Amino acid sequence: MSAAVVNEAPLLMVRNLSTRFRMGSVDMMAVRGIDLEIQRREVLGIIGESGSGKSVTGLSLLGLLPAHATVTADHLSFAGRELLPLGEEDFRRLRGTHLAMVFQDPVGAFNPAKSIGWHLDRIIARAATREDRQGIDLTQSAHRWLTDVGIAHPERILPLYPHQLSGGMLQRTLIALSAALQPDLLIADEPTTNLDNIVERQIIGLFRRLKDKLGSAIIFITHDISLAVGLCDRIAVMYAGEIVETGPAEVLFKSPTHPYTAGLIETSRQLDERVGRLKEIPGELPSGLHRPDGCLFAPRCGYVTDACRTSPPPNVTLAPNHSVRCIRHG
Amino acid sequence: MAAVLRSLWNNRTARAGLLIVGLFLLAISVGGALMPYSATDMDFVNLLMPPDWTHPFGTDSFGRDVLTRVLLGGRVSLAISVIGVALAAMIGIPAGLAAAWYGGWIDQLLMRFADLLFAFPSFVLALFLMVVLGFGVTNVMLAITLVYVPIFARLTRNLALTVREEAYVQAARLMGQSTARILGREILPNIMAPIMVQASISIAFGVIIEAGLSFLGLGVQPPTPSLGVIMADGREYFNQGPWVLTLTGLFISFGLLGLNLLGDGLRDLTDPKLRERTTS
Amino acid sequence: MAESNKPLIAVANLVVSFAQSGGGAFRAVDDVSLTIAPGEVLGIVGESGSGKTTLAKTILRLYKPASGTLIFDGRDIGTLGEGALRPIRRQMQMVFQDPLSSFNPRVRIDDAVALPLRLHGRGSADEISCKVSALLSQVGLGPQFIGRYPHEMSGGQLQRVAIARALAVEPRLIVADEAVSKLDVSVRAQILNLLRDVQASTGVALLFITHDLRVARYLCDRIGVMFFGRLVEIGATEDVFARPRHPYTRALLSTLDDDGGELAALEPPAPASSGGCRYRSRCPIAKVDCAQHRPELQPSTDGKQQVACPYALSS
Repeated sequence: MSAAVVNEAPLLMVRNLSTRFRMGSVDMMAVRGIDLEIQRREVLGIIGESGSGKSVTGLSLLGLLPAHATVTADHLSFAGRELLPLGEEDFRRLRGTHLAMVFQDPVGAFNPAKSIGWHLDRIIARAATREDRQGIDLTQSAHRWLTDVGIAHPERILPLYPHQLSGGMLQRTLIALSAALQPDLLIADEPTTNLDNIVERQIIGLFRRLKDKLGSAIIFITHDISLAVGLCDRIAVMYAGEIVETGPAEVLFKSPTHPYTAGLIETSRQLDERVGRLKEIPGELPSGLHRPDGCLFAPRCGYVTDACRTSPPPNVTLAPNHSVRCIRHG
Repeated sequence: MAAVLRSLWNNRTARAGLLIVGLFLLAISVGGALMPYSATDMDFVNLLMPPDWTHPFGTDSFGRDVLTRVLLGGRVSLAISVIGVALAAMIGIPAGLAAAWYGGWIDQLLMRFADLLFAFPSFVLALFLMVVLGFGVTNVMLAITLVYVPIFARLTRNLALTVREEAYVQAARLMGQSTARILGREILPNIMAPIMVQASISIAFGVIIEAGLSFLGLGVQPPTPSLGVIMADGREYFNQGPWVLTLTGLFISFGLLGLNLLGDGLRDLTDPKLRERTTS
Repeated sequence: MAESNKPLIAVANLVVSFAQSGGGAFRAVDDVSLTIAPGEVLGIVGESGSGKTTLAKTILRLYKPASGTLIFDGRDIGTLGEGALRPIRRQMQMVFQDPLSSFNPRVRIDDAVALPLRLHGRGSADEISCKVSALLSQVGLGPQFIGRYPHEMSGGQLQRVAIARALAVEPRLIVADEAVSKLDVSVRAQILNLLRDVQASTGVALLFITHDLRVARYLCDRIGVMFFGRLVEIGATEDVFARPRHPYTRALLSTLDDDGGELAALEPPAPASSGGCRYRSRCPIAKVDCAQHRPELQPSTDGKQQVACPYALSS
């Protein structure tokens, strides 16, 4: 994991981002006041379970939410440019050139009436126009990108149509497409969840190469903390719509500060030994509609105090790169 | 039942449908009795009078009050359609379930038979049956049944096929539930929603089929009013009295609209997941 | 882990095949043999397409084997019809991967748990009601969940109900098909602990299907590894993890290391019709012979595992 270049201005800067969904007469806060930054050549992991708001965060950054969602933020800037005031046209131009996203379910990203080769050619050509157009051998490029995602015989895949590929193959092809775009920022939402272990390994390797060779920044959204630790430079842990801890991956892995982070790491680590009984994080995620007064994690926290239940915990900066939302460190 | 009506009321589409259908049903069930006229009283003094206060729909070529005839005729048309469609559902739904569950030759047989019936436009099929069986009300019902059996069968089969592979159906098999119970308790309730919408649409079009057949003189025979009979009359003297055909047609459209809205509302409400949202 | 003379399940040369749209048949399970002892926890690991789920569902007779024998408690159930199977059904139950789709959305969860009890005549309505409450509390759900519908509960809670439902008629075997894969990480530990407790207290045998090696290692006494319909290795968990023999098992286990280097692009498995070992297209130790003979399970040189590769019996 190469160190990110910290002296540059961040490629993406997010301050106090919140996303609200209007459902009938009720408003549901899916994401509440989160701060994020990412530099070029950096991989930021966003860890969370279902209901944490991690996917909504990714979609909010790219303006891909439906009409009944409202995104607000003090700052949401990409390469110095504020994104929220952008019209749909301008946003669309950014997406697909500088910004790319890989979704968990690849099917929707493909035109069912066109071959895989067609998709790859378009993307490669589009990426090439930004640099130099000459000397691009589309087929050779396409082969290379497909091999990079672990497809052994790309020439067999190119003439096929999306419905002819298995889920795993389609996901890998989508990742190849997104990589071929050579985006400045790639957001990958659970890209390997439906893939087999061995293939997952290759994809992680590909992301590493993307970062190093192309200088892309990658936001890697997943529920699997051990996977994130292997790939990411920094990790942000989300719980019930808020970021509870952000910091360097090794620091979070070896000495997690927030009790939830610690619980996740512990659960992941325990399975490596055949211990008697797994340590559980008791309880369940809170429902999105009713927000309690205090800390969202309080009902499940082993260190809870009365103060935790009455007021929301402050976001404490432990180190230049490390912050945690917990009253114990305030 | 009260709870169902209350939920229907809360859903805007269903509420509109409920109001229209309610009004419609009210009109055709008691309207005829409330009217001072009978459907067959002829009044040779007031032939072909345009609509006014004494005759809101005017009178026809025999001096009969058109509104009364429409209200009573509506009852007749609707009853015929409802019975025909109900029979079609009683035959088609079990057939579709069997085809989906057993597959193989049962499925092939049923679907080929349905294909055969689908080859004909519904009205032509109905007409054909009338020619074979003869005229009259019962045969109109059977014609409607024949048109809709394959539709219910195919719809049920396709829906059941999607549900058949669901985990809870496999869980039911593992538990040792009998096939009949699985079809009736696990599969059918979870596919009823689109079937109900189909039923309401079918009743609506059944009225049109009946109207068409009676219009041609093959169905309900005069002097018994049915919407088709009245429209047939109205067409005869359209130039002298356009209100008969027009107002009767509008009356039918109104009822059909209500049925469609109600069907949509019913579909929304039979989904337990949606139930939470519409009432909160 | 009871040592019993008679295995609970004995599968021999099982083949399960499905018709393919272009004609011909596809063997999802290709000549698999294994046993499950009463009270044992056997894990089957493999990737997608390995046939592990098909194998599990065939043992439960949700599918019918094309050939081979399937013996349950001494009785051949491979060819029985639905009617004859029904009384045997209560002895084998399943917990599915997606808890939400394993429940009829229109049925309340307590009714769903009561249903098997009612079907097998396990008492009066009151007695059944009592049993349902007891079962729900056994899996950690209090009385406030009675009357709820599946969509009103979280994945973890529903999976507990699924376990309660599976336990209701006191089966001898429970098949858990990726039972924790769709659950959140923080809930997984709860369900795994529950499965372990339930297994220990009732002595039920557990067939645990998963692609997650670490979960398999935690829960299972023995582990079998499947690759495209074939069982390539089987043995006690500690042995398989400490000394994986078959090249595929080794490849799988290498993904557990944090910095296993990048693996080469994956060749598709050699076609089934060509005979020979299907793994040879990816295998680092493949020999010419591998294309001629399809390897059968043989004991490794230390006798601890069974391995379907004549060149990987020792290391």
